Amino acid sequence: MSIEIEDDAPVPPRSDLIAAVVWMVFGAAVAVGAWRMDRLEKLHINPYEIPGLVPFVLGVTILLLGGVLALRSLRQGALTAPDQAVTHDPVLLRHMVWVFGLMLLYALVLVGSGLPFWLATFLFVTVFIGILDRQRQNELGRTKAQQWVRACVYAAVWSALVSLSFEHIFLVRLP
Amino acid sequence: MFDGLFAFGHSIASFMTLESIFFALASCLVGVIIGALPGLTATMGVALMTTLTIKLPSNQALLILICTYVGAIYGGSRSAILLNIPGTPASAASCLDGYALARQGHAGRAMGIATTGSVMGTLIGMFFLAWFTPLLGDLALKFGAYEFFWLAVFGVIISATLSGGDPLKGWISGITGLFIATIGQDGIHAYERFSFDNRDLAGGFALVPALVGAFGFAEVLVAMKERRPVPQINPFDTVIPKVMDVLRYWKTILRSGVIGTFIGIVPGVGEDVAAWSSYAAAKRASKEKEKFGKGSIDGLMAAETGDNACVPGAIIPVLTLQVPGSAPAAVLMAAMLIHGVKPGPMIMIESPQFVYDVVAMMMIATIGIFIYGLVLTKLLVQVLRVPTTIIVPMLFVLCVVGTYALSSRLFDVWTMLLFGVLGYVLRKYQFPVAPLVLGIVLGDLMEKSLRRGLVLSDGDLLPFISRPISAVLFAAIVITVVLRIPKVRQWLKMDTSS
Repeated sequence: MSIEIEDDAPVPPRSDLIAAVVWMVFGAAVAVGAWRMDRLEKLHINPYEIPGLVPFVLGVTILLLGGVLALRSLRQGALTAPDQAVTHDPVLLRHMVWVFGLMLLYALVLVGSGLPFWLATFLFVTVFIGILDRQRQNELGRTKAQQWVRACVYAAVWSALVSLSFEHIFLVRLP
Repeated sequence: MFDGLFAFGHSIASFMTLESIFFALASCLVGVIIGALPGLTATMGVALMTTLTIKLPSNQALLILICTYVGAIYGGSRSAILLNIPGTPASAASCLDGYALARQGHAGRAMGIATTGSVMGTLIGMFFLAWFTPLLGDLALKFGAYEFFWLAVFGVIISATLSGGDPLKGWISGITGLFIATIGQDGIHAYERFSFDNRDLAGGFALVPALVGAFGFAEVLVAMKERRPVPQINPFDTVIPKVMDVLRYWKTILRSGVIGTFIGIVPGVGEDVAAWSSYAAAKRASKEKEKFGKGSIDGLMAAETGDNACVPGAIIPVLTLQVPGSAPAAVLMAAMLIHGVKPGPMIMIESPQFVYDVVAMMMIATIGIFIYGLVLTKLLVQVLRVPTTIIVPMLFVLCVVGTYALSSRLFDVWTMLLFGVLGYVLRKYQFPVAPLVLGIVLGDLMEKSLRRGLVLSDGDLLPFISRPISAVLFAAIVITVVLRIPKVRQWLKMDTSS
């Protein structure tokens, strides 16, 4: 469907082996769950219409494909090759923790908590830009106050634009 | 013949209102900008716009989505030419010669070629959309449960195989997508599966939030991870397309248009494969093969014509078989269902005018990208300079509010988050996400067809492989899978690295 842009670095065989084990466990869980599913005998349905049939087949297929991936990674030296542990750049890690944390905070806590949508959005965008655009702003020689004022302006404009357009143009009730 | 032309004329006339023209131009612009921004794809654009247009009348909503789709596929060429970064995966082939031309001081000419190729490609695809949809619709009437089962499986397998990475990982991803589609009440007896007594989960995962998550949230996370520096863009010459380019490269345009459209028709393949295939065919046919990759106008024209011709091509199976030809077409299909349009084999009988409405929408989108191709370059250059740290939170707000807007429930927002994280983790371990999404889209069709087929044949598997169309699809699946086995490839002396 689409040739997706992935990380350039190849995935080490050991990571593939770990992924394969996860898929095998997942596939087995699906197959067991489907096997235990009610077969609706009381309704006298056709045995080929039982609800667990397709999930069972899919679970077994995932289990088998996971097994093939595991075998392939073992052949590529997943257990014997020296551990090619991916070294995490601490700056990038901190950056991504902020990204994830702020997005989850906005979507899971701020939105739907009773806080007006425009305020939740304003706070999220301000803090996101204020923190994560800091490095670029420092390189541009802007003071902290200037940086936060800019972040507030972007946030206010976006919050107003989204709130008004959704409520009055797209006629959507906001959370 | 004339009935079709009259129906097309009627459709065009129905869109000649100020409101529709405004929506078309605005959504083309949004599409071009999304397409031009590296990391954001046409699928994300169409998914986000689906959530925004949920309350609009169906024809206007679909006009917006098709304009966004066409605009995004075209917009991807801008960053490919100016930055050597494909704005969307569909524009990856355009980087080779587009950027080489830009480095030689011909960025404007390259953008003009991209505009010419995209416009001509969409027009060729549009012609086939109008011509082929009724024909394929007739053929689709012969499809029964057995054929639809294999068609759904074929879509997932071919998407996984051609998604550019490891086919094995693609198949795992696709089968998982098929499983996700089974969560919630089953389509025949309304029995709750894997819902863990959760009322929201009993309805299953809604498709659009899952798509916004997998292609929206996950993409903004990847964009934040990459932290691309603000690009430096060289000055460029005139971007006005030249008539001479159309006359001189008419064979390339025609060939790429046909290749792009037919690749679009194949379920689950998509614009990027269309662009690369057209590029490869142009290289084979060219007398100046050595120029490919070093600034060949032929190569750029082929890639841009091929990917844009694929857009109408990918809509043909949506309309006739209810099977998407590409990831954005999958979202478009979901939007059609949300808006009460029922694509499928009966479309030419129940609502033939709708097919011509889609052709008219495609025509309007083509005019839109042509206009923006002429006038929008400087604005796009400014957009490309906006850092991701400012764009990302704004897009994320749209992901959240858009998914909430679908049915005003927070569960859809959680679904979006779940699929976003899943999409991000899968990408990190190089499992392609597109087959997963196609699996979710086709899961219901696959399951219902399999169970109906088994009931009809009383458990006999022979009809699944003995009917002519089923046999062809089954053979295609087996060949596709067998040809990816390394030992078979070695035996056939095929390249094992690809």
